[in-house]
Amino acid sequence: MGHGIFFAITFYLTAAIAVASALMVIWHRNPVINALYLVLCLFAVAVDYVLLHAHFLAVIQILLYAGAVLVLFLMIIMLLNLAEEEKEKSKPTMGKAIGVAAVFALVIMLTTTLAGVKAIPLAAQDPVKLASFLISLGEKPVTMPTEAELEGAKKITPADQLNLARDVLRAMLDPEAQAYLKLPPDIENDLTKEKLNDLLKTLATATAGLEDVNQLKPPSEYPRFNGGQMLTLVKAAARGRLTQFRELGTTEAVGMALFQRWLLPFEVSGLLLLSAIVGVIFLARRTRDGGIG
Amino acid sequence: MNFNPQQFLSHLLDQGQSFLLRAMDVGLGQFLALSVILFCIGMAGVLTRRNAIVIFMSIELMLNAANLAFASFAYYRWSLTGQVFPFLVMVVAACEAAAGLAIILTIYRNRETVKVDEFNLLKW
Repeated sequence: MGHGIFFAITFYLTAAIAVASALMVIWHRNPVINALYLVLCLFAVAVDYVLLHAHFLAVIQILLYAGAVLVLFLMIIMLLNLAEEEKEKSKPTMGKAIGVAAVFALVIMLTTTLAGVKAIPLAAQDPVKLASFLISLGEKPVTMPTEAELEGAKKITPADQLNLARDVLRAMLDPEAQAYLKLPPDIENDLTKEKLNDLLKTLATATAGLEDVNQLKPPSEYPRFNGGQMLTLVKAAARGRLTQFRELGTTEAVGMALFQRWLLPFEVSGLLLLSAIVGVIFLARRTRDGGIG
Repeated sequence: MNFNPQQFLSHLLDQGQSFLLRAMDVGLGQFLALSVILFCIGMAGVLTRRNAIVIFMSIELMLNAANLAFASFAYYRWSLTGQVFPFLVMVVAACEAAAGLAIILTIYRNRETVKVDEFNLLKW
């Protein structure tokens, strides 16, 4: 996916700020300054979340970390009298040197390995390409096409169309993607969930021997359908995939995921928070004689 | 073989241009690299600092780096699952910070220090 120069500049700028402030968190000797640099680092990462279409996550990051956790840190730092601790210079020891060297080696090793990682080159994972695919089939994409999409639609050959149709059908096998699949009633009424999966799989393999998407025929097990309906299915799949991309990270989509598919982990984390609250109050309160608990 | 400065210069320029073009194409790899660097800085903090509060901040850094990796995988695979798990990680981070700081507070009341190498209550 090409992102353009703005994306790259924003990424490198926030990455530089995040790394520099993270280094200050562990270098500076004053805990208050450490905490403030931690806020800066978390803000820079929140900008990266926005770049990654995780808008809701970015807002929560700022609210939760800067609003709650960091205030807690600062309160504890100011509650404890750390003035004397700051003055003491820690002398470099053998263990520290080994630790820093090991961490440095790990950074080099992991970054050189991971910087080469590429996202899976699925054609159905490029929004511009998907939009051009829809335009080339005579359909309107979910949003107004940009000029790049209109330009790309002219370049899509029948062979590309077949590849894209196969990729889109395969991508729709994922239940998360299927939630965005809006089928016309004449197709939807005849299909159960298993049948839909089976149909998508058979159609995806059937694209192999064809020369044109319009030749796409329904498999013989589904005599009720005709070729036009199969093309409608492909278009609906492409449109659903585009919707899925457009709604990635919105509050609505994340909320749906949290309250449907991931409801149990969500509730368990609520329970964890409750027990943490009770535990913290128990630990931090003073009894009349000054002891714990 | 003769050394041709002009040719060498243009070769260098070509190399630089292709490097810049590759660097401008930010992808999954770059985000993962940033996440690794932040994680390792946090790890270095845990290993080298002795102030318990700063160690907790370093742990927050490490958890945050893991969240960044989750979010970048979510974006490059178009999957929401990677955006749900950072919430659970944040909840754990918040619990850990609250409980940890309460423990530090209690220890400070008893020992008047937050240096981890002076916490030796469980040593015998």
